[in-house]
Amino acid sequence: MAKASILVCDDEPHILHVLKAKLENAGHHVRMARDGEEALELVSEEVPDLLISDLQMPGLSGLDLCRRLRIDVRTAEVPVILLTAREYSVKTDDLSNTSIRIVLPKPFSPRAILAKVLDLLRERQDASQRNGV
Amino acid sequence: MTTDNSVIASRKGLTAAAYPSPVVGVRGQSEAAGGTNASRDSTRAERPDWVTVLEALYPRWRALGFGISLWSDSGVLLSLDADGPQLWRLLFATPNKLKQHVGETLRQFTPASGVNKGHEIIDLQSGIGAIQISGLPLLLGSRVIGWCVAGVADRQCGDTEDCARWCDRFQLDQLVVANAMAAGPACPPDVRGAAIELLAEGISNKLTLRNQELELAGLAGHLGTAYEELNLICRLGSEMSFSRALVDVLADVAEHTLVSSRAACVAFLLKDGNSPEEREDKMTTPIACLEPVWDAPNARMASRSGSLKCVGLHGTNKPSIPTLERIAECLCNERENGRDFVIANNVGGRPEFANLNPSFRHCVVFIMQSGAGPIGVFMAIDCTDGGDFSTTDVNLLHAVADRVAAYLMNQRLYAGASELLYGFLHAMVSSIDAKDPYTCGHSSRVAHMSRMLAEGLGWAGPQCHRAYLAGLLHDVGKIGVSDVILCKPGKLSTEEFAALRKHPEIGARIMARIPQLETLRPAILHHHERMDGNGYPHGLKGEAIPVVARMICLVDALDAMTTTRTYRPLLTADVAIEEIRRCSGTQFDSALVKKLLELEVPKVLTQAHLFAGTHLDEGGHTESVGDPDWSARLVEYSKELVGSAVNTW
Repeated sequence: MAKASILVCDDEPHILHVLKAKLENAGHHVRMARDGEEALELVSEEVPDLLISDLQMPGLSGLDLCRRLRIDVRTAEVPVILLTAREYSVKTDDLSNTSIRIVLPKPFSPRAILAKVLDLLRERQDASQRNGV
Repeated sequence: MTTDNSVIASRKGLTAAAYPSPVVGVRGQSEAAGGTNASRDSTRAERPDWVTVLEALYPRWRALGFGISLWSDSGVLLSLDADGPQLWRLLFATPNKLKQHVGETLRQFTPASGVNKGHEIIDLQSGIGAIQISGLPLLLGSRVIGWCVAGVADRQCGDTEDCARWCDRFQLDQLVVANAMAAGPACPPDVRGAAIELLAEGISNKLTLRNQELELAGLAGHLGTAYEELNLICRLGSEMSFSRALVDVLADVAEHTLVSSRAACVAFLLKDGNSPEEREDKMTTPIACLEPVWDAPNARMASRSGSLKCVGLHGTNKPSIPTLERIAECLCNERENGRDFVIANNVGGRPEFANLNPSFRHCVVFIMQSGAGPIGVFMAIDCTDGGDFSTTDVNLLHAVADRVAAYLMNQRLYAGASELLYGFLHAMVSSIDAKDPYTCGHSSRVAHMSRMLAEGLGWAGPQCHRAYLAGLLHDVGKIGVSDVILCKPGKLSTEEFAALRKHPEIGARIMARIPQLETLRPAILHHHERMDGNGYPHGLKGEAIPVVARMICLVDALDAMTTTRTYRPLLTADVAIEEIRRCSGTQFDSALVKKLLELEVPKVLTQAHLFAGTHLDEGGHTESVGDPDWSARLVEYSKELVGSAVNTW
């Protein structure tokens, strides 16, 4: 699979670094954002192929971030994996108006996240190929 | 005219203008790619990752007239600023005496003790003030990992005598050197010292940053592994419940393990514990050492073929089970003393397994230990990426093996403990029933009927089980009543009757010794109370009587009426039903009577006898029928209920 650009957004640096290490190890380009605002800035510099975001963050929450991305045509289709702490549950309604494809509880398995990232990227690649034809 | 790049090629006749630019190769390449004589360098160092990091410093220092180069700790040139001052490209691009001198000096360098090594800059030039060559050690902690060599020269000193002597010493062409010196920028001599210090600081900062990045990446990697383990253990913990079937638990454990590890396939193999000898061992061995599966923790595994049985195999490319069992068995014997796992990478290629023709290459075998010895094996087979198993994999998988081992051990101890308890309960009950042949199987039938009634009322599993146990034990107090009274035909005297009436209290006292059965005491104590308050021992009335006691009272009477007793002849089911109806509300709880009649008395009785393994002959005498092992069946049945009972105890 081609090298993808992945944006990781979490207010906990250890989560960022764990994901960065895992994804970079798999050959992807990873940028890290420490909150929703920084994520928006990085997205405006370059639209990523995929976003992994925490739900609970100071300021812009993961859901708010995803809704903001959804209303911009350039970023509307960027698939999102949402990470949630165990005590927060995400309702199906919350996911409307976002491109959140997968919700994963913490603690997570980095291997499982990588597998899901690959699935989403492959799906996206297939979709763009179909559109191309 | 020569086109040789080497400065030592000719000592006369070449002007700087005629001298071709040295080919240093692509910037950042080690010199091996540059000169034709490069292969003469004895060692060709790998290009370390810090080279790229420090090459970023080149442009700034180039502008100040510095020629920067990077060398390995063994004095091999790794990188040279290809756009730097011409002199240094000339001097370092190809082998010559100066370069050799620099390399040797660096190689032989031993850091002086007690010196702040971060600022230890060594002087590599020899005896000429106009040319300064400084070696700056690159430090990882206190270890020198390489060198930065910075060269700078005065522009106007190429034709001095000093320079001539210097060139002579290193067999360099003075004219070429002088021309090279004259070209390009130069750093004024009075700021060189400060500039070198700054360079050293810049290098140190870059390296520190780089090291921190590497450390961070390493930490993140380790943290990732720890997350993997934490996540896995969290998930495993929630799957491992005693109320679930072992195969289901193992299937879920396998699923989580396959997600979190590189293993493509995992297998659980257990020591076959079902042979009659092993069952006997289990029954006669104290609980703490119920599992003497192998002789001793470090002894070789039993060589008896087939002693390891695969009970779970999950993942992709599953090998054949007999092959797996054989290989697991063999590998277990390979473990080193004290270790509880064997990494067998490339097991597929081993000659001793050639005849088994295993479909897998790599595996790790973890021996699951209980207190007394191994109880089985957890095996990971092949990696999803085709690679070998590493220490990281082993650590993760080891956590799984440990958890499963603890689960299995607890499960067995638990089953052993409950078997022991139920065994004793049944032995006790049997001994009471044995006192009076007329009451053969009575307790079991009452137990079963109580449970049927509880189920009929829609009670939850644990409550039904409690009703069953209370029914089973309701007459346990008869152990304290004389056989003469129990077996006396005809009417009892007042004293004898008073003694018999003591049995509920005796039973409750006996049960007081078993805290786990505390909840059964009220039912045992009050099973002879009547709804109208005329019962014993306390004369409780109606709702004040525990409901399980009311149940037992009803089914106890039903069983007594439908079997012949010493004190009266048999009643038919119809007469018994009439009697129950008649006493509904006075002796019996009318709601329970209603439920019992709904369940149909003959059916209830038939099932109760079936369960107790007794047969009701035409004369109403009960006898055991061809199933002397009924108490064992009861144990089996009780084990089924163990999961639900654990909450009620």
